[in-house]
Amino acid sequence: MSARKRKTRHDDGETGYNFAYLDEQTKRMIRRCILKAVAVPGYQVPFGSREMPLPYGWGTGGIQVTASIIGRNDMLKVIDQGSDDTTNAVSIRAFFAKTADVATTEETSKASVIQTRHRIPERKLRADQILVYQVPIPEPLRFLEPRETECRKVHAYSEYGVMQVKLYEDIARYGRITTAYAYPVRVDDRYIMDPSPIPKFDNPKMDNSPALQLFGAGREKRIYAIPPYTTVHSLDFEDHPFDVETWDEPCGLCGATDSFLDEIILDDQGGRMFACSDSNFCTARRADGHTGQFAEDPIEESRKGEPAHV
Amino acid sequence: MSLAYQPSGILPGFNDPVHEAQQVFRQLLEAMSHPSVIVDIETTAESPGEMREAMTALALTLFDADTPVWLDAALAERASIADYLRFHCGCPIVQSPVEAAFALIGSVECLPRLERFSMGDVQYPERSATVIMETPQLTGGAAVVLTGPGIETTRDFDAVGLPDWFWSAWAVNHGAFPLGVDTIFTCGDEFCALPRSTLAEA
Amino acid sequence: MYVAVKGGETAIENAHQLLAEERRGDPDVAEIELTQIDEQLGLAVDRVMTEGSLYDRRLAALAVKQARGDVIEAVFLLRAYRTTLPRFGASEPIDTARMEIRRRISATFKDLPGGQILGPTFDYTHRLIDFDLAEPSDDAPEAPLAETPVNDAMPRVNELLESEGLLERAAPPEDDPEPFDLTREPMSFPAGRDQHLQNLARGDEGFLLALGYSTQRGFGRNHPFAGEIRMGEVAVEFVPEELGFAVELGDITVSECQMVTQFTGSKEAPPQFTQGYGLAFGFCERKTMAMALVDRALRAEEFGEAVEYPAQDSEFVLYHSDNVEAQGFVSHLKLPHYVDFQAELTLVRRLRADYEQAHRQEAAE
Repeated sequence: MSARKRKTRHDDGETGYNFAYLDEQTKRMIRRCILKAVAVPGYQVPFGSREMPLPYGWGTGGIQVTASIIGRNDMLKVIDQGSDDTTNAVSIRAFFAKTADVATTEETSKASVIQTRHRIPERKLRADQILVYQVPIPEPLRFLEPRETECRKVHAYSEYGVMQVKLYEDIARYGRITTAYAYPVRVDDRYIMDPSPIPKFDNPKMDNSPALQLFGAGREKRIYAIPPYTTVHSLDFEDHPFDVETWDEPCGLCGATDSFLDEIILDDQGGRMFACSDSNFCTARRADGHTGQFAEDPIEESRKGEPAHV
Repeated sequence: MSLAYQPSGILPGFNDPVHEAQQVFRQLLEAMSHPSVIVDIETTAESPGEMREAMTALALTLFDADTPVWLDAALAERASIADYLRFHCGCPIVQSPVEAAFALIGSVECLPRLERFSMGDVQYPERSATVIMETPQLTGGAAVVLTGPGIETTRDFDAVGLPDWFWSAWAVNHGAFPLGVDTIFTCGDEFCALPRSTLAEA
Repeated sequence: MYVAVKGGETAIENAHQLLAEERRGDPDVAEIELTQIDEQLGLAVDRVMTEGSLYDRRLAALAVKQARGDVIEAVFLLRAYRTTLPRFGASEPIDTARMEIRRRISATFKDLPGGQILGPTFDYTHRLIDFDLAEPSDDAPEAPLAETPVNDAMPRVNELLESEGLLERAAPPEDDPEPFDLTREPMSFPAGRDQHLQNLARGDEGFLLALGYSTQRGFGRNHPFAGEIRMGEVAVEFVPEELGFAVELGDITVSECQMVTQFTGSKEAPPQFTQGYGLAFGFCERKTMAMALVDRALRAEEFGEAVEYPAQDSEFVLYHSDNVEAQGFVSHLKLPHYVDFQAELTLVRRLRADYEQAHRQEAAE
């Protein structure tokens, strides 16, 4: 769990790749796009996304953004579904450990750069931290209008009626808005933006966050940003205000009642429990002495550290 | 663009191009994310003539063959500056402000009207210029009050020596959002930034 | 007693080792060499080079070996390598009119200057499994040599038609601007023909084949004829700035297809044949034909034709042709989506509760 420093192999030419994999020209191009993204909050800046040694759809946008901002003094945390040890998070962390001379951590509070897929950490981020999101489909209008040329016009002239209509149709039909993740937001009262497939539970964390938030979509070749202290409003209606998911049960491991919970199937008899999706948040709470219903079983302690799939 | 040889008369760029450019970029990202917050840089690059440390480091970090650069009269006068940029960055130097992705202003009194730079396209607002200008001092002048993304409540900005038309032009620039130029104010080895999203009021 | 699922570095490493073991297969069977792949599975190498956008036979053969024969995986390997290579400049355009021809056929004229040259084609083989190939043979097959060498003058069929004004001229746009390069810039619309052709050249053969086929079946028909298909070697030349004249870097093998298609004319232009173009590294004839059909279909707007079908839809074709992008996004569904699924699960449970409540109310009323 402690921060660890890995020896890099890049500078001596052993890997044959530049620091953080990308060549300097590509980094410059991406850096210029990031600056534009910060200057025009919520607008998707097209960029010359490169083929990465990981498949498109597996975080190549986030990786290119991270590779363009990261330096030797950074402390990197990578999460997928809130957890540091899901396979893709492990793989991306290993990629940067191999190609960049950067320390990694699982502790949210210690990280200076956090790359994430599908979650925002529960712990409030600080002004000296940067959150990098991996984005599959950056266009919030894509499923209403598949054409890039049309979507671009909608953004250019703020003609967002089509989005309001879609949300309102949901309400008319189901009595509530049926978008549970990748819930669209309006940034600084101008651009409608896709927050990446985070659960809408996380949406309020984007609003006026002290941390800079960068979004990278590699396959779709777009970068966008929410600067610190920027208004991020989840779309809603006066008579149907935005709300977030709630659970009837607390986390089975740490007892938290205010975190996003994963549902875990325990057996085929309908047995289930809920546990924090943010693994570091949960671990820290348990270290502080919080416990949940399923945490105290000694068998669990004895099986800790054993790989669950091999 | 660090080549093995260094023609005589051209001053050196970064000692360690990879890591220095990364550091300068992160400081610039910090500055752009927090309008008017001043950062100071350490650089190993040697500045030619009127182009001071921060401006030099920003140029080495941002410019390359894909970024047309325009120089104001103060900088264009001295051939060694264009030579330095061409050698280290490989950037084309353009004759007209509207063609530029970046403009370097050696003396803020020479700043052309902002509308002479590219403001971007309503469908592609990123196709706009970033103007980097050397100012006599970044603080101590008449203050304007800033609000907008990156600013928690409000912040004062009081750089010295901006042309008297600047803040009315800035209001137009900001009012054209998402179009507009982004600006970086340098002073020696310090700089701060105002993106187009920032509203400035007296 | 709950143990959190751990993806674990160990599990990943073990999977990599298992993959390496399976790739090698039975160690009692001799390991395949790159020269064998290059020589005997050469068309796989050609396809990987074409869609991988890198002309390097040995590297492509290595990618095929490493990918265990999975061509799309091999294309991905080559692309990811290519993107890290420094760029010295752009070569001069290759001139396929000066090709050293190994195959050249035209379906539009029975005979033409230079003649029809079949070359190493599958076309007239009966697709009967050749059981003699099942065992290695000491007798290397040998083809007879022609009595006369191939004609030096091998004018392109299209040029013959162009000179009569019957076919639109294939000329670069005015001022001959630098072509679009989508390895360095994101796609932008409306896309020019340069962007179309580069995208199609890198595009997945299967995707283009299906689209090209769809135009033949009426989903954007344009009455194509295979004006000329040629394959052979062309020189690649480069002009170093310090020299100022072209230096030959070497030869590459390419396949080219020029499709002649119908155009009935408009108010501005007299009736004239139009062109669709296909080019690929190596011997990728099927790919070039499919590419030429789709290229022509994508020009619908240019000729004032209605854009109605998938093959004519620039955004649709360009955004979905790249198999590195497509395979990545399809395969990413294997990644965990616990959080999104949980969010949906919570929502569906709430919707069901709403529904049941509404029905109970209805029943009560």
